[in-house]
Amino acid sequence: MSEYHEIKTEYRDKDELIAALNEVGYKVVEDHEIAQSLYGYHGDRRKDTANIIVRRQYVGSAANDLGFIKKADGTYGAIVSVYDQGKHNKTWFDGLKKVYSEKVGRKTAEGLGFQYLGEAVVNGKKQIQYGRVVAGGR
Amino acid sequence: MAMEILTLTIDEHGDMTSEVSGVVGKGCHAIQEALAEKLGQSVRVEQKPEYHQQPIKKVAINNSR
Repeated sequence: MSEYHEIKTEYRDKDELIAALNEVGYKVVEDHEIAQSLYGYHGDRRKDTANIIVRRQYVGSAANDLGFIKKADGTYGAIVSVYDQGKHNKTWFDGLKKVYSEKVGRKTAEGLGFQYLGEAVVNGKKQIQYGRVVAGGR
Repeated sequence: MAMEILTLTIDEHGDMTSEVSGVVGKGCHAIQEALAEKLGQSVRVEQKPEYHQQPIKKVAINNSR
Protein backbone atom coordinates (compact mmCIF):
# COMPACT_ATOMS: atom_id res chain seq x y z
CA MET A 1 0.00 0.00 0.00
CA SER A 2 1.14 3.48 -0.66
CA GLU A 3 -1.61 5.67 0.63
CA TYR A 4 -4.93 5.33 2.37
CA HIS A 5 -7.63 8.01 2.35
CA GLU A 6 -10.85 8.24 4.29
CA ILE A 7 -13.28 10.59 2.60
CA LYS A 8 -16.44 12.11 4.04
CA THR A 9 -18.71 12.07 1.02
CA GLU A 10 -20.35 15.28 -0.12
CA TYR A 11 -22.62 15.80 -3.09
CA ARG A 12 -20.42 17.65 -5.57
CA ASP A 13 -21.16 15.98 -8.90
CA LYS A 14 -24.58 17.05 -10.11
CA ASP A 15 -24.88 14.43 -12.86
CA GLU A 16 -24.02 11.57 -10.52
CA LEU A 17 -26.39 12.91 -7.86
CA ILE A 18 -29.21 12.87 -10.41
CA ALA A 19 -28.17 9.36 -11.54
CA ALA A 20 -28.18 8.22 -7.90
CA LEU A 21 -31.67 9.66 -7.38
CA ASN A 22 -32.79 7.77 -10.51
CA GLU A 23 -31.32 4.57 -9.15
CA VAL A 24 -33.08 4.84 -5.78
CA GLY A 25 -36.38 5.19 -7.61
CA TYR A 26 -36.87 8.81 -8.63
CA LYS A 27 -36.90 8.58 -12.41
CA VAL A 28 -38.07 12.16 -12.98
CA VAL A 29 -35.59 14.69 -11.59
CA GLU A 30 -35.46 18.36 -12.54
CA ASP A 31 -32.10 20.07 -13.01
CA HIS A 32 -32.09 23.88 -12.85
CA GLU A 33 -29.14 26.23 -13.23
CA ILE A 34 -31.14 28.82 -11.27
CA ALA A 35 -32.77 27.50 -8.12
CA GLN A 36 -36.54 27.11 -8.39
CA SER A 37 -39.29 27.13 -5.79
CA LEU A 38 -40.30 24.00 -3.96
CA TYR A 39 -43.97 23.21 -3.43
CA GLY A 40 -45.77 21.64 -0.52
CA TYR A 41 -48.27 18.81 -0.74
CA HIS A 42 -51.18 21.26 -1.01
CA GLY A 43 -49.52 22.85 -4.01
CA ASP A 44 -48.42 25.78 -1.89
CA ARG A 45 -45.18 27.47 -2.89
CA ARG A 46 -42.63 27.24 -0.13
CA LYS A 47 -39.93 29.76 0.64
CA ASP A 48 -37.23 27.16 -0.12
CA THR A 49 -35.64 26.88 -3.53
CA ALA A 50 -33.49 24.14 -5.07
CA ASN A 51 -31.47 23.35 -8.19
CA ILE A 52 -32.20 19.64 -8.29
CA ILE A 53 -35.81 18.80 -7.58
CA VAL A 54 -37.97 15.71 -7.30
CA ARG A 55 -41.54 17.00 -7.51
CA ARG A 56 -44.01 15.83 -4.93
CA GLN A 57 -46.08 13.71 -7.34
CA TYR A 58 -43.00 11.50 -7.83
CA VAL A 59 -42.09 11.41 -4.14
CA GLY A 60 -45.34 9.80 -3.05
CA SER A 61 -48.85 10.54 -1.93
CA ALA A 62 -49.29 13.67 0.17
CA ALA A 63 -45.60 14.50 -0.10
CA ASN A 64 -43.69 17.74 -0.54
CA ASP A 65 -41.03 18.39 -3.17
CA LEU A 66 -37.56 17.07 -2.38
CA GLY A 67 -34.75 19.41 -3.36
CA PHE A 68 -31.00 19.87 -3.41
CA ILE A 69 -29.63 23.40 -3.34
CA LYS A 70 -26.21 24.26 -4.74
CA LYS A 71 -24.20 26.00 -2.06
CA ALA A 72 -21.43 28.58 -2.42
CA ASP A 73 -18.75 25.89 -2.01
CA GLY A 74 -20.16 23.91 -4.94
CA THR A 75 -21.68 21.13 -2.85
CA TYR A 76 -25.38 20.26 -2.87
CA GLY A 77 -27.40 20.23 0.33
CA ALA A 78 -30.73 18.43 0.70
CA ILE A 79 -33.93 20.26 1.52
CA VAL A 80 -36.51 17.96 3.04
CA SER A 81 -39.74 19.08 4.64
CA VAL A 82 -40.30 18.00 8.24
CA TYR A 83 -43.38 16.18 6.97
CA ASP A 84 -41.30 13.92 4.70
CA GLN A 85 -38.52 13.16 7.15
CA GLY A 86 -40.17 9.84 7.94
CA LYS A 87 -39.42 8.67 4.41
CA HIS A 88 -36.33 10.75 3.68
CA ASN A 89 -34.63 9.92 6.92
CA LYS A 90 -30.98 9.20 7.68
CA THR A 91 -31.27 5.62 6.47
CA TRP A 92 -32.67 6.79 3.14
CA PHE A 93 -29.92 9.41 2.75
CA ASP A 94 -27.25 6.86 3.69
CA GLY A 95 -28.60 4.66 0.87
CA LEU A 96 -28.53 7.54 -1.59
CA LYS A 97 -25.00 8.44 -0.57
CA LYS A 98 -23.81 4.86 -1.04
CA VAL A 99 -25.12 4.82 -4.60
CA TYR A 100 -23.67 8.28 -5.25
CA SER A 101 -20.24 7.38 -3.83
CA GLU A 102 -20.06 4.26 -5.95
CA LYS A 103 -20.96 6.17 -9.11
CA VAL A 104 -18.49 8.99 -8.46
CA GLY A 105 -15.81 6.48 -7.48
CA ARG A 106 -16.26 4.58 -10.73
CA LYS A 107 -16.35 7.75 -12.84
CA THR A 108 -13.19 9.08 -11.21
CA ALA A 109 -11.36 5.74 -11.42
CA GLU A 110 -12.23 5.29 -15.08
CA GLY A 111 -11.24 8.89 -15.77
CA LEU A 112 -7.80 8.04 -14.40
CA GLY A 113 -7.50 5.03 -16.70
CA PHE A 114 -8.49 2.34 -14.19
CA GLN A 115 -10.70 -0.56 -15.19
CA TYR A 116 -13.25 -2.31 -13.03
CA LEU A 117 -11.92 -5.61 -11.68
CA GLY A 118 -14.65 -6.76 -9.33
CA GLU A 119 -16.42 -6.19 -6.05
CA ALA A 120 -17.25 -7.94 -2.79
CA VAL A 121 -18.93 -7.21 0.51
CA VAL A 122 -16.41 -7.28 3.35
CA ASN A 123 -17.63 -6.79 6.93
CA GLY A 124 -20.85 -5.31 5.59
CA LYS A 125 -19.02 -2.76 3.45
CA LYS A 126 -18.94 -2.78 -0.32
CA GLN A 127 -15.41 -3.06 -1.66
CA ILE A 128 -14.77 -2.32 -5.33
CA GLN A 129 -11.45 -2.88 -7.06
CA TYR A 130 -10.05 -1.19 -10.12
CA GLY A 131 -6.78 -1.89 -11.87
CA ARG A 132 -4.48 0.02 -14.17
CA VAL A 133 -1.61 -1.46 -16.09
CA VAL A 134 1.45 0.70 -16.18
CA ALA A 135 4.41 0.30 -18.45
CA GLY A 136 7.70 -0.67 -16.89
CA GLY A 137 8.38 -2.24 -13.54
CA ARG A 138 8.86 -0.97 -10.09
CA MET B 1 4.21 -4.40 -16.97
CA ALA B 2 2.91 -3.64 -13.50
CA MET B 3 -0.59 -3.29 -12.13
CA GLU B 4 -1.77 -0.48 -9.92
CA ILE B 5 -4.75 -1.42 -7.78
CA LEU B 6 -7.30 1.06 -6.47
CA THR B 7 -9.67 -0.30 -3.83
CA LEU B 8 -12.72 1.73 -2.88
CA THR B 9 -14.64 0.74 0.23
CA ILE B 10 -18.04 2.29 0.85
CA ASP B 11 -19.32 2.10 4.40
CA GLU B 12 -22.90 1.90 5.68
CA HIS B 13 -23.20 5.70 5.67
CA GLY B 14 -21.97 6.10 2.11
CA ASP B 15 -18.56 7.44 3.09
CA MET B 16 -15.58 6.09 1.23
CA THR B 17 -12.14 4.79 1.99
CA SER B 18 -9.69 4.44 -0.85
CA GLU B 19 -6.45 2.53 -0.93
CA VAL B 20 -3.92 2.53 -3.70
CA SER B 21 -1.35 -0.21 -4.07
CA GLY B 22 1.35 -0.86 -6.57
CA VAL B 23 2.17 2.80 -7.01
CA VAL B 24 5.59 3.82 -5.85
CA GLY B 25 6.26 7.37 -4.77
CA LYS B 26 3.81 10.26 -4.89
CA GLY B 27 1.87 9.02 -7.92
CA CYS B 28 -0.71 7.58 -5.54
CA HIS B 29 -1.31 11.01 -4.05
CA ALA B 30 -2.57 12.33 -7.40
CA ILE B 31 -5.09 9.48 -7.55
CA GLN B 32 -6.29 10.13 -4.02
CA GLU B 33 -6.51 13.87 -4.61
CA ALA B 34 -8.69 13.33 -7.69
CA LEU B 35 -11.05 11.19 -5.63
CA ALA B 36 -11.21 13.66 -2.76
CA GLU B 37 -11.87 16.51 -5.18
CA LYS B 38 -14.87 14.72 -6.67
CA LEU B 39 -16.21 13.12 -3.53
CA GLY B 40 -15.61 15.30 -0.53
CA GLN B 41 -13.28 16.05 2.30
CA SER B 42 -10.43 13.78 3.23
CA VAL B 43 -10.79 13.16 6.92
CA ARG B 44 -7.79 10.88 7.31
CA VAL B 45 -4.73 10.18 5.23
CA GLU B 46 -2.22 7.48 6.01
CA GLN B 47 0.91 7.08 3.97
CA LYS B 48 2.46 3.65 3.68
CA PRO B 49 6.20 3.00 3.32
CA GLU B 50 6.00 2.79 -0.49
CA TYR B 51 4.93 6.43 -0.59
CA HIS B 52 8.46 7.48 0.34
CA GLN B 53 10.16 5.24 -2.22
CA GLN B 54 11.49 6.59 -5.44
CA PRO B 55 10.32 4.97 -8.66
CA ILE B 56 13.00 2.79 -10.19
CA LYS B 57 13.88 3.89 -13.68
CA LYS B 58 14.63 1.09 -16.08
CA VAL B 59 17.53 1.80 -18.32
CA ALA B 60 18.26 -0.34 -21.32
CA ILE B 61 21.89 -1.26 -21.44
CA ASN B 62 23.40 -2.48 -24.63
CA ASN B 63 26.46 -4.47 -23.67
CA SER B 64 26.94 -6.26 -26.91
CA ARG B 65 30.22 -5.47 -28.52
